[in-house]
Amino acid sequence: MTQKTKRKSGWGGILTAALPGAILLIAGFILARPYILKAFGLALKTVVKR
Amino acid sequence: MSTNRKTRRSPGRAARGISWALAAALSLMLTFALAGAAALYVIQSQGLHERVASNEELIRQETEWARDKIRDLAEEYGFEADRTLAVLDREMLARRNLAGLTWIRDTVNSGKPKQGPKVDNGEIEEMLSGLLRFPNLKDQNQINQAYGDATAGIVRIVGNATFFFRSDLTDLGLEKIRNYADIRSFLNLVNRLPLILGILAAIIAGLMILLVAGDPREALKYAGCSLGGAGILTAISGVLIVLLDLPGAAAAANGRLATMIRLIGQELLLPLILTVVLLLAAYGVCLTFYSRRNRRPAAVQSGTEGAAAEMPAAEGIAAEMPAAETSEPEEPAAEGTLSEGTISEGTPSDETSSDETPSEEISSEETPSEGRTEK
Repeated sequence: MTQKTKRKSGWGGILTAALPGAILLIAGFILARPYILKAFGLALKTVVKR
Repeated sequence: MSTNRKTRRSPGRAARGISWALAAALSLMLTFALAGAAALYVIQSQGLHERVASNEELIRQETEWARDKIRDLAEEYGFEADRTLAVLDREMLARRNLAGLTWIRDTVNSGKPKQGPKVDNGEIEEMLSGLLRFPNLKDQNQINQAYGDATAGIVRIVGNATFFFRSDLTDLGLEKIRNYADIRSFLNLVNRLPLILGILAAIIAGLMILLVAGDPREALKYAGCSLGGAGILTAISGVLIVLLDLPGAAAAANGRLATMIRLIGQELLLPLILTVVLLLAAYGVCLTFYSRRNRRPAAVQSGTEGAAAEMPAAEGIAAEMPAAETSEPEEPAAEGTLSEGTISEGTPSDETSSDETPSEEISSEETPSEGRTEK
């Protein structure tokens, strides 16, 4: 009787480590993008000469 | 014959769960550390500043902008614009660009307001002395007056072409902030942020080792996945920053600044790709060591760890076995054969995944493996 060995491909682990951060980054990007661009534009208009 | 049994426990479900959570946190922390390191590289790197300052496209844009402005000024004061355009020397513009970038770096480093970059306006005035002509003016006083105003105007135009920040406003802003906060200590903190995050990452890696029963090799799996995860997150961050389109946003304020930001982005592209590749390679190396350790036959492992003194040849066998394994590294065990990663007949274990490291649970007596037959 032999039990079949279940070997992880390795992608499961890396995705487990990366997924929470990726969700955080992408969600943060989607939510904060307009504000970042607005703040960036305002700062440039104030500090940068045309 | 040694009957040395291994007493090392496999990490429990909770320990593995916490380790995965730490791995996720470590990935994110490494990504932030890399982002901080990239920001510091942009601010501090003299080489990057020199390459951006002497970029042909940037200088061409500055020259075109200054040429238009000088022509407008020529119409106003009545001097010959074409002669004076020789003042827009490529080397001089590159030097002024570098002075501007150095001013930003010094301001960030010191946190103290400075009155603009240090540039030599004398060289422009010297060049203009032989170039400015006012054919429409006859009166010497008028010529002198126009000459002074035009020279000051051209100096201002060349200055604005290469350095387009309102240094008076940044000075004022920095002074205001200084009233409320210690900018210097904050900048020190920002400068050391990658180092601090690196130390935190090392602490998390140490926690992982503790959680997996003090086994550094078991922790390789989690640390490797953290590094690979950081690689993926770094790549995602790079894509998101490209999608943010900062040059496009800056173009509305100043086209030359947009070019400068785009050049800095291009300078960061290769280090970013290399970092992602290195992190994924580190992940591969960690996983290779981790899975090789798990695939090593139990008898050879116990022979090398437990009875090395009794069996000097076991070291050699242990060294030879992985080489034999590499010929079929990922092949699942054939039915009915006793290969690596396969639980032998009669081994009381329900855990069959490689995560559970079956080789650790099996003593040298219980496993009739190659280690014994080769002896």
